[in-house]
Amino acid sequence: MDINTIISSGLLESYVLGYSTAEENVQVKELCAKHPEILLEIEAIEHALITYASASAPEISGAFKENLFSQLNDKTVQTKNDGSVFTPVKSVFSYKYAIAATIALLVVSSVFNFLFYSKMQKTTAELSMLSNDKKQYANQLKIQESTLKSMQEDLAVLTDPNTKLVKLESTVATANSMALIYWNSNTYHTYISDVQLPTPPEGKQYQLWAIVNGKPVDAGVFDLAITNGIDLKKMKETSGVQAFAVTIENKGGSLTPTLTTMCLLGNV
Amino acid sequence: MLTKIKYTEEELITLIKGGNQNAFSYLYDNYSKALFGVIYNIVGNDAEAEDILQNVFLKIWRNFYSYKEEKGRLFTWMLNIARNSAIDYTRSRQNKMNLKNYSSDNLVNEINKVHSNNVSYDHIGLKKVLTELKEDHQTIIDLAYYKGYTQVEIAQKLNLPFGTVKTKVRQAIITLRKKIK
Repeated sequence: MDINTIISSGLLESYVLGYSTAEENVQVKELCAKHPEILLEIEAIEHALITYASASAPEISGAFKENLFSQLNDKTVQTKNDGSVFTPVKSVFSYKYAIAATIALLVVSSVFNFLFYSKMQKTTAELSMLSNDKKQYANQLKIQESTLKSMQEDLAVLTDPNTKLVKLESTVATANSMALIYWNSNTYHTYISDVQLPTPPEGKQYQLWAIVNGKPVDAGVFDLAITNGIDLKKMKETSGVQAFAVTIENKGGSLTPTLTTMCLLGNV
Repeated sequence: MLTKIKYTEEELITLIKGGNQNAFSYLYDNYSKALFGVIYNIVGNDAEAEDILQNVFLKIWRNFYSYKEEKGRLFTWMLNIARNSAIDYTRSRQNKMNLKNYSSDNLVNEINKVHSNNVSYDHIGLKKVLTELKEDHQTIIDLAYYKGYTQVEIAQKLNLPFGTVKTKVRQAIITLRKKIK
């Protein structure tokens, strides 16, 4: 196409004014590259239009450019599509609020610290109390266990088919003194229980004797306190016993019984 | 902020795409007055035109990466931003104020009023140029330049055959070019 035809067609004016189509724009760009005259024509049209618009413009305020350039790096001023400017609402979370929030948190934290400390002290006290309780229960359990063990042993003695029960009765008809002897003819274990006797005179003690082949054999001394209820007092082992007798002897017992002080007697 | 360096358009585009504020300052010095004139001719008020001009230059700066040379002249790209911003502003202002319904004829009259009554031209020579422009030339330039009318729309508006509009626009600009020289 002839250059002059292009220039006189009005396409270049449309191009500068912004009404040419996308295809026309590509075409004009290509023509500019090939023909410098076309570029010069475009620049002349553009210069005329710039001059024309500038001539009709009022003076721009003195501080306008400075003000504009101060905003170039300011990302908080956003341009919207409709061309108006809006500034985002400034963050209300200033240092003042930050400090206030910090103090509030500190106060709340202190209150909780106090509460937790009090609770911890209470808990520690409760723990030591519980620990003491536990020790007491452990001791009680030990006592119970030993009691149970001795009772189980007593029960074993009583339920042994070889154990014989011998009731000792008062040698004086009017007195209601008595005692029970459990004697095992197989193991020779001898126990005394359910003793009902008056308190012996000062320096004296009751002594049990086993009558073996008509002769008294020492079976040990005993005090009243330990022989009550089911509790059995273990005495010396005896064998081939026909009868048991109790005399009052000097403390610690005698080698031979004092027959005049005999108070209980029972045959096996 | 003013710079004495002269850039070619290619250099200017490359530098501004790289974020060079001196180049942008040069761009401002060379085009701000024209863009302000375009905006002022559309909105008809100094203060409002300055607000729009500021937004236009911020848009140009922030969206410069999207300018493509193969799609058109840099001036044309900036002219479109300025013209669209001003027209949008005028439309929203008219909607808000609910003033009389501006017909297209009224718009043309408005432009003429601005030119004949309110504009203070900055040099006598140019004033002479503009007053010497034939009224139909001025109307045609104003419709095409400031109002964003396509040739089809101008043809309908001025009741001219479509084929002659292109020529009329060219003739008007040629007259303008002769007066300026």
